Amino acid sequence: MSRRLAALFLLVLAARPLAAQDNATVRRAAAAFEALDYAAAIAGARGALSLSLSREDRARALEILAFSYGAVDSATAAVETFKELIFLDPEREPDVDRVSPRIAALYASALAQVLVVRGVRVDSSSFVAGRGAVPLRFEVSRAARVVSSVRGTNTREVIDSQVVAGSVLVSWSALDSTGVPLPPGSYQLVVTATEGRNEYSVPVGVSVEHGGVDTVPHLTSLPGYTPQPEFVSPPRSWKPIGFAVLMAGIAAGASLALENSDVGGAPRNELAAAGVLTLAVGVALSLKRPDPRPVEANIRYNELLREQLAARNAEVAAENERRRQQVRIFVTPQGAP
Amino acid sequence: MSRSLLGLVLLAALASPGRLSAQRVRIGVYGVGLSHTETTQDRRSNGAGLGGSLTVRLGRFGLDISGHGARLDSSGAESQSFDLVQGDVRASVRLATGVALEVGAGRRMVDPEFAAPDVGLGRVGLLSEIPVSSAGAFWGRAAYLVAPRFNGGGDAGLAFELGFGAGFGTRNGRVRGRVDYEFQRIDRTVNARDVPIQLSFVRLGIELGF
Repeated sequence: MSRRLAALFLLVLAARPLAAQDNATVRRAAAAFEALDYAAAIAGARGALSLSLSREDRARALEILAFSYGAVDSATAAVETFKELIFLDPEREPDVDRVSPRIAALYASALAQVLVVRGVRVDSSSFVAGRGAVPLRFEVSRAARVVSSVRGTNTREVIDSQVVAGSVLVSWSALDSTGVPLPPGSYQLVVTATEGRNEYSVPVGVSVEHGGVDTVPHLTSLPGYTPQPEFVSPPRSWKPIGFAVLMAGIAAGASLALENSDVGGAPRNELAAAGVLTLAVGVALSLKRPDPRPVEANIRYNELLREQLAARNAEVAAENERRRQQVRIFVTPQGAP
Repeated sequence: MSRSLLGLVLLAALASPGRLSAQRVRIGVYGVGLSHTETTQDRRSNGAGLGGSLTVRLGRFGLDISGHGARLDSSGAESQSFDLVQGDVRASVRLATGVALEVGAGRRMVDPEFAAPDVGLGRVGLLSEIPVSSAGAFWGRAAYLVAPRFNGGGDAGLAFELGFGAGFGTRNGRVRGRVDYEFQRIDRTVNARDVPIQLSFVRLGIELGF
């Protein structure tokens, strides 16, 4: 009863879409597995594995066989089958949310017994040469010496070498051993794990391209600082007409008062004309908008702003000069192995 | 020739940037209206003419040179019409803001001779010039006339001149119109007989600054 229940549980949780199977024998084995007929499933999967199958069909046949061995409590056979599956397709593993803990444990046991590198991933990235790196991520199934290297037409450089197990993150700067950016082209990042006589390698193709480094725009103003008006127009003033009255009044009054009585008293056309015109100038200057006056504090403030702006732009120019000599490296993965 | 030269001067003045305070040299032309009276109101002559001026300002120091010629027609039976040519030189040094000491000399010549007296004189006085803006200024002056000399002889007791004026022009100070009034009184005595001279004139002109 309990075995049947466990098998039903396994069936429900471990069931995978079978539409991908092209081989009829694999399809029959899958159908038998779904019908909880594990003996038929084991026989069908074994029969399928003796045939020439596609990689996907072979992996599926091994999976059905391993699951079926697990269902009939044949742990050793299940582990061995899982090991074969892992070598065939290291990335394929039972979904822990869908399979029974027993199957997951059997898979983990198999994985711990083999040396594989899985989940090798390179993210697309761009960085300034010498100032950044591409993250290379992978998992090693058990402790081993892992050597990461890059290989190209004329390139063979070791990126990293360490003894690790589990998740690993390696940074690749895309520079050669002398610190010069690798030329544009296609390369392979190869992760090789070695443990005794066991060795496992995974290559990942990447494309390297070069580009210019963006320059920094020059500043036209300092953020947070606003130039102040250097000239301010004072309010309209009546002083000009006052000066006109003062000047014309004093001079005209004095000249009238100081006239020689023997020769004075004649019409004073010149005085009248000059007086009227002077007053007219006074009125015009009073009505005219006054000249803007310099504001020394604002002028000094703006000078300081300009000095700061010039200093900042000098820094920007130096930075741009440096950037124009740099190379931006674009690394794009070409597909998983 | 003169028209081309005037055009060039105008162009140079208008094209050059600068502010009023930067105008150290001004050249001007003006029309003048005069009234000349001698001895009594019956010997009064009026007329008009043309003149020119040169003004230089250098720091605290200033120099004004002006001259004009005019035809004066007599309005009384006792005098005759005559041509008058007058030249004045004034040098000033600023003593305080708006106040300058002014010294100078002047010469007035009349043709025909003795239609009115030729006069030569020195002057010492004060000039007050108040710039209101880059476009305008007012000024006033008063001077004691020192030792006037006349072609017909005689001495002067009280002799002085008073004047005022205004200028108004473009904001950059290159072109400026100006109006001046000047009143001159010389109490001349010839052989113990009073022969006073009184002259007033108005000038209306335009100046170019450089």
